[in-house]
Amino acid sequence: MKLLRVVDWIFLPKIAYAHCDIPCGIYDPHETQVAAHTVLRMAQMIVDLKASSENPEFDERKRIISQISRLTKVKEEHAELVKQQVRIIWGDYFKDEHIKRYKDLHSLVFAIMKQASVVRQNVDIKACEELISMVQRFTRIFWETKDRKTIKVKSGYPTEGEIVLPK
Amino acid sequence: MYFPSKAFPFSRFIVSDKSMEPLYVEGDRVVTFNWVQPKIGDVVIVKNNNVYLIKRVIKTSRLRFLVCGDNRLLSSRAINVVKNDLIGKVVLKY
Repeated sequence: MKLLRVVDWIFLPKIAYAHCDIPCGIYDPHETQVAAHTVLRMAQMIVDLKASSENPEFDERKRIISQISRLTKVKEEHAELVKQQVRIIWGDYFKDEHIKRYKDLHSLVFAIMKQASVVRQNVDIKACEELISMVQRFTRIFWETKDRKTIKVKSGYPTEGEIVLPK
Repeated sequence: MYFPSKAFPFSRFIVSDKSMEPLYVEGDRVVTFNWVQPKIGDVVIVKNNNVYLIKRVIKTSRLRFLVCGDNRLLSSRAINVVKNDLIGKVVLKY
């Protein structure tokens, strides 16, 4: 191994990227909306968790702590997924012509990043709904750049919210 | 200057970014064996648009193969690569 490091020092290896970043043109904010709804659902489930008494048994406490840990983990992951998906579409898909047409796009993306952090830090239903609303606005802009009209439909998820789909 | 090529049996690379996590993390150095035909499941280095990529083979055919990153959160798209663009199979991480 040390010998290889010496060789590397003389002849630097090439960089092998793991992410191809090929402009394949396949982008869809649907996953972002699903992730935002998941964040809301996790927050709702955390809020709905109730103990049987003010001073529950140790086993029940363990169960509640375990459940909150699991829900929080999923909430964290999906909030991060929202940020990641929005960043990819914003960075890889949107072009100058889109920014000229949708002047609030940069500030919307910035707001989504901040809001996704807020929902990670808190268990706040209203903040989660706000995140969904921002993601829906982002989705509408995305489809409009493809000259596709959008429609809001009931998600059918337990969150009872809506999702934006292309017509 | 060092250029990886199938003319040499081995090549060395430094892994960049996180799309092959958890097995290969940013900064890992790998050695490829270049005189081999990859099989499904092998981690390979391919050349694509003058960029070297580290990916896992998920499907092979006579002339082409399909590769994808392990970390599907970051690398969800499979890439179709011609066999001539294969540099080699990763055989060592150091």
